[in-house]
Amino acid sequence: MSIEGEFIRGAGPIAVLKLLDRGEMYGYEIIEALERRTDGVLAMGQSTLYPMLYNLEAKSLITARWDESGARPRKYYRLTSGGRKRLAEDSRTWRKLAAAMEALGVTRIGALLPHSNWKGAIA
Amino acid sequence: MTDGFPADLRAFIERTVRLTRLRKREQRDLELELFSHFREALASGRTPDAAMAAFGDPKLAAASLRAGAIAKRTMLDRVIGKAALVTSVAALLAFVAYASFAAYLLSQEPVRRTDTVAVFQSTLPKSSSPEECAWPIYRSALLQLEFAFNAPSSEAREALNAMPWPGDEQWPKVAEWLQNHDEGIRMLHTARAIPKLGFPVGAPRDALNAQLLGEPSADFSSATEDYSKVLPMLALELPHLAQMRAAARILCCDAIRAVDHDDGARFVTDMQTVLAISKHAQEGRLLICDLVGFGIRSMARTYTTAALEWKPELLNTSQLAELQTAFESVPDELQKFVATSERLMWEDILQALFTDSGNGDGVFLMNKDSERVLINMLAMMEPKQGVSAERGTAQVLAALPRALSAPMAAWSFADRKSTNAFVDRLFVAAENASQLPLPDYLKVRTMDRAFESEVQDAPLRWTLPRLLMPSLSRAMAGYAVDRAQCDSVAVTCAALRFLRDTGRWPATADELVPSYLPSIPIDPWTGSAILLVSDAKGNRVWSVGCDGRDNRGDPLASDGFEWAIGGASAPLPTTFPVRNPYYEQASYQPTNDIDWVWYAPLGSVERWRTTQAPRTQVRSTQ
Repeated sequence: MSIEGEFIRGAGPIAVLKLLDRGEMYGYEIIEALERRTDGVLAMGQSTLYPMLYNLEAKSLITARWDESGARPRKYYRLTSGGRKRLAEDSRTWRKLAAAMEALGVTRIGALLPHSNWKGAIA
Repeated sequence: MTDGFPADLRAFIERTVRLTRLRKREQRDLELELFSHFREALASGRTPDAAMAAFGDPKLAAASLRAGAIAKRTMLDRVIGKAALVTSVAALLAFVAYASFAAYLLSQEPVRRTDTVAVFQSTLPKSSSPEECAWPIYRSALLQLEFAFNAPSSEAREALNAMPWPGDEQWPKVAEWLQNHDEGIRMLHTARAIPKLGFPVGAPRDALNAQLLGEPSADFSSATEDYSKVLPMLALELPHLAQMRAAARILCCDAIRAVDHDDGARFVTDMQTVLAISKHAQEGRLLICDLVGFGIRSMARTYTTAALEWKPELLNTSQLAELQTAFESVPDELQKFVATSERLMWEDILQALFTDSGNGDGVFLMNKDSERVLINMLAMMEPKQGVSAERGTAQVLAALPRALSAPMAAWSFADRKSTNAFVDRLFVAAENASQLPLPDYLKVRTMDRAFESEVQDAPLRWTLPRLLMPSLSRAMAGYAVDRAQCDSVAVTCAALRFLRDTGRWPATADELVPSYLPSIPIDPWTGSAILLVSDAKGNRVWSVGCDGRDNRGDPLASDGFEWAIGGASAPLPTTFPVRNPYYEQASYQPTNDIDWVWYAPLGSVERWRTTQAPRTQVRSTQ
């Protein structure tokens, strides 16, 4: 797998957790948000999202509920307290990594990220 | 809920879900989620094709969805799932192995590598001409004596079968019949000098033999159509044995008639012929042949002792010597069990019931044919007790609860080599037991218990020997009794010769050695010298009997020592490890704690009459 692929793979769960930090979302909504807000960089194959959600659910970082009150039944995912804690830890790690890369002069974090929108996704 | 959903998208979802191979409940949840996902995709303006393309390849999606769904399961659930998977694979492998083995067994046929009958026939004495064989003489004589197969029965024949003694109601008829058939009896006498019998066991029956013996029995083959091909040794017919017993009965009656007429020479000739018949009957050395031989020799001993007790002066010294020689002439090898022919019977069983790997090994082959062999063998073992094939089936099924299919039976029963080795040890033990002196039969019992213990440790493993092996050890005492019976007449003749020569009865057995006997005659129960006495009750020779206590040889208390042959007395084993289920429990209980009286002249044949009559009265027939 390319380094970019590795980055994306490692970034996927924290990106999802970060999106859910702002409120509960259903699967397709998460996919669209990832694509839109990362300008397509984290637009993972749609079928990849659901296994990732199940893994986060298995680790009790998120929970799910069905909402059938609307026109279309939706399964909403939201962060648990454990998920919130993990998000905080992973965010710190990512910040340290970005700072280290910048300190080494490898690149500025802004240069590492192809699109400025992605910065918002992990901040 | 999915009404109006595009069919191709619905099929896409269903296929993806199906490919996950998740549990039903998990598939249901996933399906709901995917329907929700695609409903949102359609609502966002995507076409079904675009939605499917964005979702990705169903196979890859199914794999990752499955991994994700499994991750949601609890730890216990995952462990159980894994165990179930391993168990399923193991069960599948076991089933494949079982089915393969079953198919292998199904494809196997019994292999008759050894022509057992041919081997058996090769052990029979060879003769270059019919003149060297006694059987043609017996056959001609018996035909002359009106014993042809289709000959009508007569009162005299019936009376002969009862073997009456002079003084009995039936005796006059028998005596008259004997007188009228003197030529046939004299013909029987001529067979006594011929060493071989030469009955063609297992050969097609020629016209002359069929005239005497009838056609081969239909009874045997009707119940089991190919039995003679499957177990040919067991299917061998030995009809000559009954005819030879009949000849011996005629000669015994003729002998006692000779005594009645004071014809010592005729008596000796009759007895010599009876003894020759007993030896001829043992040709082939099947156990049944030996037992018939013992029975005939037992008759010879009974009639000789009866004659000498009735008329002690009947025989002159040289006739006594001839008689003694006749009894001493029974070869040692005929007085011990030789399992060669019986082993061939077992070889038939192995060939019928086991596969043949070519190196003497194989596994039990449970199929229709072998089941039929088993059932028929069990049904045949005790036909007189009315064991039907149905009962045989029930017994087999009861005995083989785990052998409901061939592989289980093949794995449960000992393999061919082990089974053969086990049975061979039984044969060797029986051969050794047949050479033991009488008191040592307690050792046979110990030996039996060792085998019994081995069978009890692994009853299923030794099912076949347990079901099919005859109770050999109980028959082995017959050899020691036969030796004792021959000794008893030899000692009696020797003592009578001593009396003629010295005018007195020998006080001890060692007085007879070496002029009258080559060695001191031994009491078979004590190993000490046999007991002789001459007192107010007369001259006597006796053994102390199985209780070891000396009752001074009271002839009226003696049972004629038909011990073991007649099924009486201790200390034979009461159980046998490989007894078949039909064999009744042995009834060897000590019924006689009295002496075996070998000779005690009473001037009558009273003590030799049927044992049904109380022996309280001594009646002279003179």
